[in-house]
Amino acid sequence: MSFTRRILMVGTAMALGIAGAMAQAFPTKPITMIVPFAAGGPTDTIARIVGEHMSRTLGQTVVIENVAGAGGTTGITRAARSAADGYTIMMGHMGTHGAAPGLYPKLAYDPQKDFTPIGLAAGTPIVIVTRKDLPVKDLKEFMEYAKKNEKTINQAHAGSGSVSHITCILLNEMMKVDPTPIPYQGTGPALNDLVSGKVDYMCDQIVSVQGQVAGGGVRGLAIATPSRSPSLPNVPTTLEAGLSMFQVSAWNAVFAPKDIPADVAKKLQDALVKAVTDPATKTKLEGLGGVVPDAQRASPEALATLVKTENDRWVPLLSRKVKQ
Amino acid sequence: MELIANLGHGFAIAVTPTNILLCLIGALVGTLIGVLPGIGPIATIAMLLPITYKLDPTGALIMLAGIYYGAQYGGSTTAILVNLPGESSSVVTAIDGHQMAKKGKAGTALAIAAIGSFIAGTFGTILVAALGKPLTQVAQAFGPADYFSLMVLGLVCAIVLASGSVLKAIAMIFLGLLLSTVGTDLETGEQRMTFGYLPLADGIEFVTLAMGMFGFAEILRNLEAQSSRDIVSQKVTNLMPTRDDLKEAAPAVARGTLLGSILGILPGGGAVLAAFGAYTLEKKISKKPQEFGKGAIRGVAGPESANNAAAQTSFIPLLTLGIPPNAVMAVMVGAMTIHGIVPGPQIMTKQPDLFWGLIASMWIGNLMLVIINLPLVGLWVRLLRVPYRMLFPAILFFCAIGVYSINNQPFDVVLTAFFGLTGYLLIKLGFEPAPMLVAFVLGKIMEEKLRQAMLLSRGDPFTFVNFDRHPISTVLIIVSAVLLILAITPALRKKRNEVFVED
Amino acid sequence: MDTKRPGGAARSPQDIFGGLFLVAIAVLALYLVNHLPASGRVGFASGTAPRLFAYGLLALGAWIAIAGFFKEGVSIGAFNWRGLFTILGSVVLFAVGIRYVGLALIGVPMVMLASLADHEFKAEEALYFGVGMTAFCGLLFPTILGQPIPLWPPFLDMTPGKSTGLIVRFAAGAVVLAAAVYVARQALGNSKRKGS
Repeated sequence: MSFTRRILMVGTAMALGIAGAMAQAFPTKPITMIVPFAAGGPTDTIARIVGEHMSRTLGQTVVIENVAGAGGTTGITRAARSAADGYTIMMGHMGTHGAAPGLYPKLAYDPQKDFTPIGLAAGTPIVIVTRKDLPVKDLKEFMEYAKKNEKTINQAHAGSGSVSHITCILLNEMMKVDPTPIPYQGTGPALNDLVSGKVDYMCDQIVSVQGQVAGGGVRGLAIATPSRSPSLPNVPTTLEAGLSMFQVSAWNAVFAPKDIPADVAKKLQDALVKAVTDPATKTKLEGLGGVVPDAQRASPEALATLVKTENDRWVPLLSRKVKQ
Repeated sequence: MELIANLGHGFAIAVTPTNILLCLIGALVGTLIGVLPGIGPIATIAMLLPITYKLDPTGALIMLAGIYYGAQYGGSTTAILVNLPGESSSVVTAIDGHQMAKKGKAGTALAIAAIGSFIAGTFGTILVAALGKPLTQVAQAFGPADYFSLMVLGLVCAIVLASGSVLKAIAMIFLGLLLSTVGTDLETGEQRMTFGYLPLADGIEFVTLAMGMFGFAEILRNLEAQSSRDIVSQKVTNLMPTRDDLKEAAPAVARGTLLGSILGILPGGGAVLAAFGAYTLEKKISKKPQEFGKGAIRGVAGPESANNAAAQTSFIPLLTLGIPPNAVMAVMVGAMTIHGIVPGPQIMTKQPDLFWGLIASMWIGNLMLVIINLPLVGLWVRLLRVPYRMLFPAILFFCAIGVYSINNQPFDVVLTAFFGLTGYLLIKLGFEPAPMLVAFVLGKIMEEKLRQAMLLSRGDPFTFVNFDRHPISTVLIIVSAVLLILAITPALRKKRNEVFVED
Repeated sequence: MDTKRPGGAARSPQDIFGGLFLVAIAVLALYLVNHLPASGRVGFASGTAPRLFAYGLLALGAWIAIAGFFKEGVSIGAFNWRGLFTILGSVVLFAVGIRYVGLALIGVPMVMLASLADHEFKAEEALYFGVGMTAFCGLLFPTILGQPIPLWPPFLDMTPGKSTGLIVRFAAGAVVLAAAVYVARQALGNSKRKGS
């Protein structure tokens, strides 16, 4: 009997808790951040680092929920359709909010219209890597080599619609090279075959390849940012290496469903800016090779502009290059 | 000698009270989620990541690794007790393990699984420590063509999994292969057999298929046979294996350990072959192959050892190259990067504490698991005494939660029910689900590797038997062809039919 | 099954229907992949593998079905309709309800519906068992294991976050374990004396 009574007491306490919670201001319960990729990947890692700091500012846990599938569009579709109360937010990314409309004609959301931009979290620059015994010294030589060996050169990527897939489409377009793309189920297997020399080159986020570049498993030819990365100080930028137009970073940004209350959006935006400008968080993100935005670049206005320019860049290219 | 010094260093790190405690927590949590159907180590490790923020990286990884191999242990428990394989590796454990349970030998099966796993884990850990680097070189020799041929060999072996008609087994293999192609095309992004439905875009989850075809279908069938449904209706003979049991199982443990250790180092899908490769081997070389599928102890000992040995050696690509060979390890890499450790070939030299500490803790974890699991055997067996009218709703409830938790997708739960219906129909029509599940797992890897090999060879279908370019592949194809002929030749079929005449 | 072949006269309904079932699946698959290219850049495209496997299944299914006309075999046996509806229904019920009412409210109806599959169904027992299972799982999955499973209806969402510290979770785990052991001992009191 005493057990039953105890359950009743707990139940009463819970009920009182609910009633109390409803009267307070946002946030009164944990916030779910939908990460549209599997746990352990770059976007997931960034979301966890940023989410952990946002939890401290907001006074409520930011729970990471991985909803992977279809290049991230499964998770974003679900997040876009969730209640516009600020309790469901998402970590969008270059693929889901930049390139997806060009990859998926039946996409169930519009990156520019269906979201409340909260702000940019971190970008991870793209690095061009080749197998270590490819007979080229730098990007210039590589471009010549690729052109000359167009018929035999193999470019790995981590599956249709992945960052490494679409960024290399852009690279190949700029190099005017038409290699044979070899699809892999994720970055790991692709990198594995690049290390063992089964394929010739690929493009991927610095966080995924920096260990291999530093350890000599693969060769880093160039990083697609204006300045060198502290994580890979020996890898020249594409500006230095002679392909200045190739500027690509896989950006990750927080979005909420459209039409969330302005005060809620403001709270989330402030928490995000606080998180990315916090020195400890910043160090962690930069350890991943990430480029962390300043307060201005992390603003929702800057993010809205970014989504638009990215759509303009990717959608026409991908609609042309990737058949559905 | 350097090895001993390094291992000593590793043990010094791993046996600090904190790390021992973390290893224990990891092993316990792993066992728990392994036992619960559906809940996988990936989701759990992801959810526990925030806790590890406060730990040092070595401690964090020790705990996460504990969850990984703890889940391997726990998974076989559910497979044996209630015929629910939580991952591909326990599909074959379910075949003979559950039959043993039905014969009142659940305790023996569980104990043999635990002991075999411990021996295999010990061997696997030593292998990782001593030969990690050179074995990486071996694994690197495998390219897409070689993996494809390895998967072909795996499929031929899968025929042996069935105890009934060979023809029906081959049909099930084709069904499994067909199901594995559902989802987004890897190369072009086209939707294949998804009915345009987004939740199917990433294909069918293994757990969904396994829970439905094995778990739900089994429940439906049990409810039909009211008399024999209580799993331990007969008296439980022995909780612990007898001397004879151990003698019978020992060679299978040794063979399984060796096979699993070798396959585990291949990151492109070697580990998935370990368990049922060992089963096939045991059944093929057994003097009494007719006992397989009816509760042969070697059918549990071999695959369980192979599975756990592979679980240890699959750490090799992660530790020596920094490349995660599977999704669980990808989460561990995520944990490493959060702690500021860059996974890569330099980990061994730059982070010797982490490297050797983790290896030492792998052995300690295995020891803990056997210490935890052997006493639990009694408890598990007693759990089977719960009346079936309560047991099956509980299984269904756990399965539903587990399947939901994979992607937080209610559709997956509905899909499981659909596969339950299909599985029930297939059983009614005399088909066995095991070869189908294995083919489903191998099919995904197989198609990927086939596409890659064809692209790399610019469309040459003979690339797989081009000895100059792909000697490994060529040998594997020849072995597969020989085995296939052996499996379907009329002479052998006749022998099989004689064997199964008493069915 | 593959017992003997006494001659052309006998039939195996299991094989005939089994083969036809596979043929039906194969035909459906072929229809679904009809729009995909059968061959591409290197003789291999998105539609190649599904077609290959579907044709294989079609051939094998047909073979099994035809062979079934010429041999003696097992009949299919009666279907467990009650089981099919309640078991699969309860799972679908869970899927439909989990997002809308949460684990806490869907647990009992699900367990009760599933229990109906058994001819020995006892409403009262199933109710208690459902309540117990729901409480156990409600603590276990969202709290101890930190799974993002909705526990309550969304409008009063109190699913504990993953910030729940290690110690809290461990304590909760210990409580649940103790409760489970207590219940198990109560339920299995008799068998304990009989067992090992």
